[in-house]
Formats: sequence, C-alpha cells, structure tokens
Amino acid sequence: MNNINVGMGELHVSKSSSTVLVAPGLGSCIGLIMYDYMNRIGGMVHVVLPDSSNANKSPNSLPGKYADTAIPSLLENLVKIGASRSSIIVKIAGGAQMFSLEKGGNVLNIGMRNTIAVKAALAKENLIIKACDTGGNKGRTCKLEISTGKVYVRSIGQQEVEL
Amino acid sequence: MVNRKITKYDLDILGEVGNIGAGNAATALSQILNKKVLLNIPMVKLCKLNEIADILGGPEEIRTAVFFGINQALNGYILFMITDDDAAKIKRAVAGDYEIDPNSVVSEIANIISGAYVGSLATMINNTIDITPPEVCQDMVGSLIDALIANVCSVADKTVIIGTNLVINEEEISGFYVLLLEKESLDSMLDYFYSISKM
Repeated sequence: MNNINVGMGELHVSKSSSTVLVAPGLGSCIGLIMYDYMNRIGGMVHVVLPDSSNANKSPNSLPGKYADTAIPSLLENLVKIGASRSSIIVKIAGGAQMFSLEKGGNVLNIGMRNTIAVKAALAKENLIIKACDTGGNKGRTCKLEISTGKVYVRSIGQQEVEL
Repeated sequence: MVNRKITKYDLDILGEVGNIGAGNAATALSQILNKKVLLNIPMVKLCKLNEIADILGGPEEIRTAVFFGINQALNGYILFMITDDDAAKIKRAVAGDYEIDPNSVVSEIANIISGAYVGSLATMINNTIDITPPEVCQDMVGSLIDALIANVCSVADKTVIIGTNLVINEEEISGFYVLLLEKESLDSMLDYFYSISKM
C-alpha cells in the first residue's frame, strides 16, 4: 500500500488502486473525501479555514486551505483524471475543538465554522454528505482506500472505525 | 506594512527574543525544581502551514500540551508540548509518589514558565501582554496545533515558529515550547526593535 499524507491545506487525487490517502492529526481542520464508485477514483482535501475572502492569493497558494475554494478545486481535479460527477459521494471528518479558549468572538471554535462552511460549499455544488464524523474535542486521523472507497477514522485511545 | 516580508535578519531578531524568553522560563523552572535546566539552540523558522506538524514532531505523534492565549500588545499562542512519559517524570520530580494527576502538575509548571517567558517579552517590548489560564489536552500533534495555525495563517500561507527545547538533565526530561504570533504582532514587534535600535 502506498500511503500519501495530505497535510494542512493540501489536495490529492488518485486513481491508483494501491494508494491510501491519509489526513493525519485533524483537530479543527476537516478531512474531506470525494469518491467516485463507478470509476474508483478518489481525492482528499485537508481544509484549514472556512473562507478565502481575506486570503493572499498567489499561484503557489495551497489549493485545499479554504473550504469555499477547496471543494470546487477537488471536484475539478477529480473530473480531470476521469471521475464522473454524478457518481461522486462525499464523506467528512474533523472540525473538533481542542481548547475552549481559542480566543473569544469570531475566532472561537474554528472547527465548527469549518464544518458549516464545508457543508455550504458542498450544497453549492449540489453534493450531499454520505457520512460524517465532526465536532467534539478529539483529534482524528482519516484514511481513504482508493481500491475500495472505504473511509476509516481513528482517534487516540480508540479503535479505527469505518465511516 | 501589511505585506512586509520576513527577512533572515528578522528571524535572527526573533530567535534572540525567543532565546531571552526561554532563558527566563528555564530560570523559573530551575528554581521550582531546584535542578539544572538546559536550553537547546532555539528554533526559528518561517514555515509553510503544511510543514509545521512535521517540524513539531509529526502530525500523529501523541503529546500532552498546555495551551495559552496571549493578547493585548501581542496576539498569539503559546504551546508547551511534552511526551506522556516525560509528563509522568515531571510529576515524579515535583510531587514524588504523592497521588496527583500528572496533567495538573504539567499545567502548573507550564503556567509558571509561560509567565516568565511572557513577562520577559513584555519587558523587551516595553508594553503589556495578557496571558490566559492554562488548558491541558492530550492528543495528536496535528490536531493540537491546527486551530492555532489556522488563526495565525488566516491570510498568508506561512508563519514564523519560535521554539525552544527545555531539558532537565538529571531527569532526562525534555519539553518543547512554541510561540506563534499573529502577523500584525510579529510586524509591530519587529518595528519596535528596529525603532529603538536607531535611537
């Protein structure tokens, strides 16, 4: 098996059956998975922030950093390598709140704001979430096996579960 | 000033700031434990956000972390990270066989050294810095830091990490101390240092 780490803000797509995409140590970030069951093509983004409106845009920017731009970008990359839009399913994990004091006001609970933004961006593309494991105060690692489309989530001190 | 680029010279200054802060933290720690505390060479790096978890030990490594927010003159976060084994050793060094939660010992130690660190930062910039009460959490490095990084990297893809390794030699305990500042705070701190160096 060929494990590919999807770090913060990164985006990966694959159609190789030996690939496993892994988003390690998700806290407030969200690991979003799109998988095309018909063609066995999948991809993952590691979303860090909800909204790109204040971002410094440059050609080297990380494609998966903001929810509003990561989702169209992942979809486009999947279609580019042969996925068919109509058979794509979506699963998400992450969006936890590790510390209660991550500053007051708007900055508070970035995990929840990420979750809401991801759902809104998916709705815009008319995609429905098939399964999700979000919120709480535990970190998660999520994995996608390209060969089967199976998604696994693991937290510390817990068994790996299929999502 | 919004899009100021961090130069190598700036990093040297920030490294020195981290060094002085950690020096004070180490003195405080050494006084509580009555043991010698060593500081390894400080780490100052301008990193892209997808590299940070690897630099801090690996995204899936498990750590006990004590978190502080800092506000007022500077806005940012302090994170003290330690392995579970070392947390148990600190508990033993401080409380012996006394039955007490290692997390609360680690949190108190981190609170004292953060006070010393932030106090010296405040003196250096001749201003007031507030620090929140400590919060302890045990989890994967990636999940512990991502919300903090999200906040300091909301505009740019890069941030400066100011880190120091504190080592209590006799007990073979090492803890990693990280200061993450928001971009405006980094800029205003650097501006202040450049302005006084011209006087």
